[in-house]
Formats: sequence, structure tokens, C-alpha cells
Amino acid sequence: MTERDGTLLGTLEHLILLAVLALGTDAYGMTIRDEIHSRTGRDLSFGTIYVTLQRLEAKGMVTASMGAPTPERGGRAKRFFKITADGRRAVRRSQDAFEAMTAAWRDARAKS
Amino acid sequence: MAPLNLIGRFLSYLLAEDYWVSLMGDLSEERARRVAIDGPHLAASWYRSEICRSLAAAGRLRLAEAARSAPWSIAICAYMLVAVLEVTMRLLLSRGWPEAAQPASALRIVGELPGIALISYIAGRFDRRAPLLLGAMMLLAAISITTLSTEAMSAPFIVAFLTIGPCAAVLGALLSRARRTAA
Repeated sequence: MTERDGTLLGTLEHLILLAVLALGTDAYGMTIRDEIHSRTGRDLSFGTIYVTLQRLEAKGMVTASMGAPTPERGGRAKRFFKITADGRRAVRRSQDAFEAMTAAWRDARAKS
Repeated sequence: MAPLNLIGRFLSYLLAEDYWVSLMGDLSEERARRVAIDGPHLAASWYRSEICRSLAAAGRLRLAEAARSAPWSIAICAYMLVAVLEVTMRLLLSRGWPEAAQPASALRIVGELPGIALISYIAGRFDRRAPLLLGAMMLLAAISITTLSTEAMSAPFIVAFLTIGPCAAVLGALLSRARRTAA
């Protein structure tokens, strides 16, 4: 079953897609890691981020483009990520599910 | 090859080439940023720990992805482990309790229950479907052997053979599910 069929995103995928959305045109490994760390306190390793980004690209939820190589990166280029329409839909579906369940929890709390 | 280069090389096997290059670039960029803030020693220490952390995390995620995409392969591996457990049990029992080590011993099969449950639990940590596949494979094997074999089998052995393996696999599945729920 793919995300198009209605499966919700995993936590890592969800966080990373939200970070890519928040960062706009400046979304690459380091900024994504910093964004998640500053907003949630989760200190993800670069390995975690890149494996997840590679999976998201394979699923068609992000696209990647290469920047220019820079000296502080040892002559290596940045890989910038952009969310696709499929990625946006998957984020919305997951957000909606969480909001619906949070509302259910609030209702239950209000009744008790 | 220096240890860090070796770890970096291992990382390249877990990621596509261009992803690996970008990851190493990010690590270099972050290290350069930390040299300016924390000094070269702390930055080098961060780099070492981060590259190890990245390798461990990428390896774990890749393993989990492989497991998710192939529950059958996990179930087959688990079944092979059950076979190893059976041979080990027979070897151990043959030294101290020869009657229980017989191929058609119900006691030996009962004694294997915790081991099979543990194998099933571990398989369930990789993929939630694997323990049930393992149980189904064991049940199928037990039915085939008891119906096709021409050797005499006692009723307790047949009952144990048909129930212990699948029940242990289900027990492992329940334990791994409980662990996931608690987490």
C-alpha cells in the first residue's frame, strides 16, 4: 500500500516534510536538521535525515536539485529538497488524522 | 584506511552516491561552523560521534526498511533459527535426558516453546507480520509431517507438534506487539 492509498506518514517522514515545507527554497540536510532540532528538541543524525529523504524521494514526495559546491563543505554540493503535490497531500492527510484524533481526545476529556 | 574514512565508506553503502556526497558535505559544513564556535577539538569530537551516529541510524533504518519490504524473508530466517534451536535442544537433551531427545518426543517440543517464542518475538520486532507467517509455516510443516510420515507417532507428540510451534509464534507476536504498544 502506498501513501496514495491512504497510509499515514511515519513520524520522521512527517517531521522532515514539515521542515522542508517550512524552509522553502533553503531546505537541505543541515537546515532540515537544525529546523527540527530548534522546533522540537529532537537531535536527529544526518544519517537518519538522509535515509528518510532518500525514501521520500523514492516515494515521489520530494524532489531534489543540486546546488553549487562550496569550500566549507569540502568542495561538495548541497542537495536541496522541495515538496511535491503528493508530499503535500500526504502531510495534509496525516495532519487531518492527528487533528481528528486530538479532537476525539478533547471530547473524551470534556465528558469525563 | 583511517577509521573515520572507513565509517564514511560504510555509509556510502547505505545511501545513494549523491545522497552520501551531500551528507558528507553537511558534516563538513557543520564541523566548520563548530570550529568557529567551540574550537577545533570539540568540533572534531562532534564530527567523530556524528559520523558514527549517522552510520548506526542509517544502518538501523535500512534494516527496518528491508524487513518491512520482505516479511517472508524474516519468517524464513526465523524458521531456520527454530531448526537450529531444535538441533541444539536434541544435542543438549541427548547428554542428560536421552528419552526426551528422541525425534518423536512431546517433552522436547514443549521445552522448545520459550525458545520459539523468543525467536518469534525478535522476528516481530523487525516486522509485525513475520511471527504470524512463522506460525503458519510451522503449522503447515507440522500438518504435512504428521499426515505424510509413515513413522509411528504418539498422540501427545502429534498434539504438541501441531500446537506448540504455532502457539509459541503467536505468543512471540503478542509480546512484540505489547512491547510496541508500550513504546
